[in-house]
Amino acid sequence: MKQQELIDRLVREARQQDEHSIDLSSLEARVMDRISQGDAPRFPSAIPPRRPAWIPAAFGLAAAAAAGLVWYASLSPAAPPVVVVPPTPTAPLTAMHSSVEKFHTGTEGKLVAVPRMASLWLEGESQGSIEDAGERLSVVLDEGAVSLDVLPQPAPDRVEVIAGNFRVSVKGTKFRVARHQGQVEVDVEHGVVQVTPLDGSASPSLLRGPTGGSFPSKEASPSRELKPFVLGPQALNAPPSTATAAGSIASATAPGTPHESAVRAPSTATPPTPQPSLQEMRNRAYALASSCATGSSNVAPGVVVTIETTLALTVSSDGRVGTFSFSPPVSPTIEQCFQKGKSKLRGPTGSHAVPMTLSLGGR
Amino acid sequence: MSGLPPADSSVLLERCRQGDQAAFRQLFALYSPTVLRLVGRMLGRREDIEDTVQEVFLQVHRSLKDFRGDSKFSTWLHRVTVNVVLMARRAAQSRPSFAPAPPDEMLSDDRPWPDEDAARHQRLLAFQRCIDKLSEKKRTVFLLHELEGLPAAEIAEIVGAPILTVRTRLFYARQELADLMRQEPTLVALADLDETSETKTPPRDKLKSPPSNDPGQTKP
Repeated sequence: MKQQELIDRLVREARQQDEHSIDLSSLEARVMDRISQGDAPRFPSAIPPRRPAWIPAAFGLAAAAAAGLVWYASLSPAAPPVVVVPPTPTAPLTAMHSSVEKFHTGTEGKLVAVPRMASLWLEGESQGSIEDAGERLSVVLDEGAVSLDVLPQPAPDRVEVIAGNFRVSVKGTKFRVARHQGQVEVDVEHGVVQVTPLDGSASPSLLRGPTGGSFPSKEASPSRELKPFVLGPQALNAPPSTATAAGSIASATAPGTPHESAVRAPSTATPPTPQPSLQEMRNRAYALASSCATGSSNVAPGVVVTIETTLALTVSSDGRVGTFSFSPPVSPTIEQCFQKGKSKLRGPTGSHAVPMTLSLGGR
Repeated sequence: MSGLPPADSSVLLERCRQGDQAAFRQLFALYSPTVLRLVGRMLGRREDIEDTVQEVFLQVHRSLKDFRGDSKFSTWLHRVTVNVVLMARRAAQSRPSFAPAPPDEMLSDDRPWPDEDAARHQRLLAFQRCIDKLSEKKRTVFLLHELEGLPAAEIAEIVGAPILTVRTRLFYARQELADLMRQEPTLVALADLDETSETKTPPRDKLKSPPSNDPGQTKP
C-alpha cells in the first residue's frame, strides 16, 4: 500500500474513532459555575484580535484616492495612454461556495498543493488565478506555465486549466500547460487530458501522454505561423498528412489485390507465399497504425498532436499477426482500427516490437 | 461545526451577548461535542481535554461581544478552539511532568479490547504519534482539513494564513507524515502486509507487533 493511501485509511479510521467518554452535562455545569464566579480565561490572547473599525474605512479612502489619481492622469494630455486589458473569456464558474486566489509568481516558481487532488507547480513569471470550488479545481492561466500532477481519482473533470479560449480538463494525469503570446501549449507526461475550445469552435481533443499539442489562442496574431508541437524526432520529419498516410497503407498492403478478398480468404485456402521480411512488416504495421491514428483523430483543424508509443505484436507460424498491444496505450478507436486492418499484415514468426510516433490531425 | 442555520444562530448569539444563561447553555449543548472532538484530536492527552474545553467556552463567553459576524460563528469558534489548544499544548510543554506516561497508555482505558479493535487502536496511536511530531502549523491544518473536513478557505480564515500557504502546509504535512510513518513499526508492518496481500485480511498478530524477522525496524 502506498504511504498516501495508508494515510487516507488511517484518517478514515481516526474519523470514526471519537471515543471521548466525557460527561458533557457535568462539563457544562462546571463551565456555568466558572462563568457565574467570574473566572478569567487562562489564555486571554487566544481570542482572535478584533479588527479596528477604521481599517476598512482607510482602505476605502485609499482606493478612492488611487482611482481619482488614475482618472486625473487619464485627463491630462501629457499622460501616457491608459491601456485597458480586456478580461480573458472564461467559462462560468460552477460552484456557489468557492474561493478564488490570484497568483503572480516572480522569477522563481511556486508550489501549490491541493491534498488528494493535485499538486501544481506555477512556473516563474506566471499569473492567473486558482479557484477551489471543493469538487472542482480551476486554474485560469493568463500568462506563463503551470505543471500539474493530478492524483488518480474516481470523479473526472475535477481539475482544469483555462488558458486563453481553451479549457484543459484532467482525467488523472501529469501535464503542463503554457500560455505565451497567443499560443497555448499542452504537454502531457502521462495520462489523458481533454482540450476543449471554450467558444465551441472545434470539437474537443483528447491528448494521451506522452504527447503534446499546440493550440492557437484567440489572442494570437493572424500573421503568426502555427507550428506543430511535437515530442518525437520522427514526427518532425514526417509530414502529418492524412492523404499521404492513407495512400501509403493502401499501396503497401495489397498491391493490385482487392482488399475484401484478401480479408475473406480462409487461411487454409491461401497458397503458401514467401513471407515478407521483418522490416517490411514493421513498415506496414507502422503505416497501418498511422492511418488509424490520422483517421480516428478529432483534433481541431490546424493542430498536430503526436503520440510516441511502441507496438508489440506476435506473429504466428502461418505469418499472421495474432495479439498486439500499444505501450503506452492509444485510444480504443485506433486499437479497433488496427485490429480490423492487422489481418493484412504478414511477417516472420515471433514477437516483435515496433516503436513509432503517430500523428493526429494536420488536416 | 454545522450548528444552527444562520438566522437562528444570530438570534441565539444575540441572546448570549445579553447575558442569557439559558441561551449560553443551548450554545454549549450545540457546539460542545464538536469542540470536544477537535480538542481531543489536537491535544491527544486525555487528562487535559476537559479543562481545555472549559477554557474554550470561557473564552467564548467572554469574547462573544467581539464577534461581529464577519465570518461564520463556527469558523470563529474553530479559531478560538485552535488557539486555546495551541496555548494549552505550549503550557503543558513548559510545566514539569513528574510521572510521564508512556505514549501508548495516554489514550488507553481499562476496557478489554477485542483483537481487531486492539490492532486498530495500536494503529491509531501510532498515527497520532506521527501527527504529534509534525510542526504546530502543519499539524493544525492537517487535523482541520483531514479529520475535521474543513475546506482550505475556511482553514485559512481560522489560522490567519493565505489559502495557498494552507495548501502548501497540507502538502508537506502529508509528505512528512509519510516519512514519519516509515519509522513506526506498526504502520510499517501494515504497509508491508497490504503490499503483499492486497485483498486478504492481514493476520492479527502481525498487525499488533512488527515482524520479528525484520531487524532494520526499530522503535523511534
